[in-house]
Amino acid sequence: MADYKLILKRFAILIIALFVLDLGIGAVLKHFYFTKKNGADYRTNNVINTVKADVLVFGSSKAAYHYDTEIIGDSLHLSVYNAGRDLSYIYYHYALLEAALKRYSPKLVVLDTRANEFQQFKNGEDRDRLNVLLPYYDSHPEIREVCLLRGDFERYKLLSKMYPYNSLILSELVELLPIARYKKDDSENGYIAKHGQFKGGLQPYLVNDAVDTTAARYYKKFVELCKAKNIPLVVTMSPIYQNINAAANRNVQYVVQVCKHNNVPVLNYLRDTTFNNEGYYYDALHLNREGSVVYSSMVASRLKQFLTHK
Amino acid sequence: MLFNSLHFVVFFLVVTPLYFILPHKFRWILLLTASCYFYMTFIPIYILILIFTIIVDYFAGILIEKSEGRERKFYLIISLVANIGVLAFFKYFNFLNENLTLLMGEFGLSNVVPYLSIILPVGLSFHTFQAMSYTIEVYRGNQSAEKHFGIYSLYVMFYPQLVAGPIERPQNLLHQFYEKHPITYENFSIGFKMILWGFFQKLVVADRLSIFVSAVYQNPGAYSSSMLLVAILFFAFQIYADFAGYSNIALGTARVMGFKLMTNFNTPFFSTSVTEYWRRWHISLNTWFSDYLFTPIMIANRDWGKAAVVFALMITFGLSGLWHGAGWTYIVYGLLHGVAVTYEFLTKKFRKKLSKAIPAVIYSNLSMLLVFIYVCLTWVFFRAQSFSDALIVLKRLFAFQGSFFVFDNNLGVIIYSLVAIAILLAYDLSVHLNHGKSYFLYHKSATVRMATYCFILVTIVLIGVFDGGQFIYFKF
Repeated sequence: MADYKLILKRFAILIIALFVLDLGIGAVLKHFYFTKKNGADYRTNNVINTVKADVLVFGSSKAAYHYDTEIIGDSLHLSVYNAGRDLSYIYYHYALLEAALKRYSPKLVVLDTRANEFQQFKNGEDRDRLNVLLPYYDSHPEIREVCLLRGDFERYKLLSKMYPYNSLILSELVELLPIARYKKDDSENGYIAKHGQFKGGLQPYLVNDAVDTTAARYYKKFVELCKAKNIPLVVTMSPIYQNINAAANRNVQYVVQVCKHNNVPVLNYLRDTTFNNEGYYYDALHLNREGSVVYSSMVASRLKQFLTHK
Repeated sequence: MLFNSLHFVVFFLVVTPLYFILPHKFRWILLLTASCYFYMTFIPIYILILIFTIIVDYFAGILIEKSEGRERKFYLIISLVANIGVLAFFKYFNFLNENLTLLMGEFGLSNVVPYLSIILPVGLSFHTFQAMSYTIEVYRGNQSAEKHFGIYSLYVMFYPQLVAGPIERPQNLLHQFYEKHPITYENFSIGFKMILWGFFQKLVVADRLSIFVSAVYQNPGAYSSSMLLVAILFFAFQIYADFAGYSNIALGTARVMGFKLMTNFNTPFFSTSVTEYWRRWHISLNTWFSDYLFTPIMIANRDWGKAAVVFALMITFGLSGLWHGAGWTYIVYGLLHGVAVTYEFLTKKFRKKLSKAIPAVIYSNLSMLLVFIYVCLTWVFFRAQSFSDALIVLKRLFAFQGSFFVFDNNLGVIIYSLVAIAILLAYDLSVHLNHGKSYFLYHKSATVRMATYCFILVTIVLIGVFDGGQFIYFKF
């Protein structure tokens, strides 16, 4: 019986110590996270909490690298913010849209859609990447549903105040460096210019085009949310230097089908001949600075037409 | 059910208190029920395989004990054929069929035997080996046959070590099911430390390293020499942390309830020879092979002198490689270790002289480094998706292709991985220097111990990879 009491006593001490550490470390990490002045987390925070741009561009790295906010803004005479983020998927875009629409109504939403938008990830990498939204779980109820896609036990893990910053500690530590506190964000309203030129030649398109039903459902929810809030939406598919048969691709077909049903225009530049030029690419999936300038101009003029006729 | 899931945490938190609440005579029922549930969370129907081998081995054990002479051997053979048969069917059928097709193709013949579309039962190699050790030990007279069917079933199915070992011996485990285990602080404390460190190894080290390693091994031709080198080094730590992590959680969950399972790892990367490495790595499997394969082969051919040892070594390591997986890469992996151990056996005297000529610190550290490098290179065959992929990795590695410090988007992953490896090595070093116990986890000051628990738990929450996937050895 003495052992039993000792075990309980030691466990109680450990639980209390962990509880205090969790609160303390969680609060410190939260402070550093929300006072960042640059980087992807800073931009995510902007979209969720601050930005009130007329045009919001959503998407993955392709959105972040392809949509020059200055070119599009000048052409439309509207303010533009690029909410694209590396390795983000439709769940992330949807959560960001939900959070942004909670604060204000943009005049136009652009959703850059990848040719493999509904790719099936065997190990759930797409949902794992939602970790970048966890710091907002407590303060933004509208994104909780998306955060919980990470797993059945996610809501219990999120009882910890440190857990939302899992795997973010490195960037948090970098923030402790004095130089990081004063460094400005290197994007132009979310747009990141990639410098360098791809030299690999036209690549084969090898991604399986089977449609992940959950991803497809969230894509539809994204489109329908804009429709419900009466916010004009344009779906774009930016160029890739891969030999894709877009017409036969099931992912692309699904995009077209959903957009047609909701009366949303699709600007498909996946294999646009203008971009059959290796010099426009940073790698097979991303345009470089030169390519993005050309692309942004083309998209801007189409968006202008769309807004004029709206 | 994976150890690294909240499902298991809940399971553990229910089963462990129940174990202590129940009267001793009912505990085996709880453990057996829990073990069945644990196993059936993978593929429920496969429990029938376990039931089949359990029934065969249970009766074989009793019949072996009752009979004498050739009859005794006959029952042993029935047991071995049943176990090896199940293993061969589920694990090696397609491999053998594939090689038969290739062989027949050489002679212009076609193979009409169809391929099987079956999923390998989880932990099959582990529990069949454990079951075989029982009938062999009964046959040898080292263990009396277990009459209690439930207890024997529990010996094969005990959930902490059911799916990935340690591969227990009946002499060590069976009697423990009859012993009354009271709740003790010592068992709780040791078990908790093992579980805690096991989770750290799995979540912070293994699953973190696997992010980079998997990316590289998926397409090795696309990576520079430096990246391949990093992936090769990382994999050595990944597989160690993955398997040792599993073993620690297994030992810890059993220990909390008072069961003492075999130690499976003993700081293997501090080995100064490949022979020593195999005494520190996956100890339960290697002693199994040593007791039931190597020694009998060597004794049977003792007239051959040294050749008998070499022959026994190569057979044992070749089969040990094959035990890991049905593929030539695994066999090559095993044989490479067999070659190294054979070399060490044949050059024992020369190396002893050499060790006296070189200062001990230099000799032992250099040996440690060489063993580590050799082991890392053999892991290439173990990890690569095919034999040709393994050759691509090695060719590109030694071709020194690409820039050295091009880590592109992987810098964050690599920094986290290096931090994880540094903590792992610091822990192992403290165990190595502190007679098998971690300096910090077993520190005499309760405050230091508590601080260490907190450090490990906080690190798991902050840089652990959750839901990173199953343990590598589950597929064996």
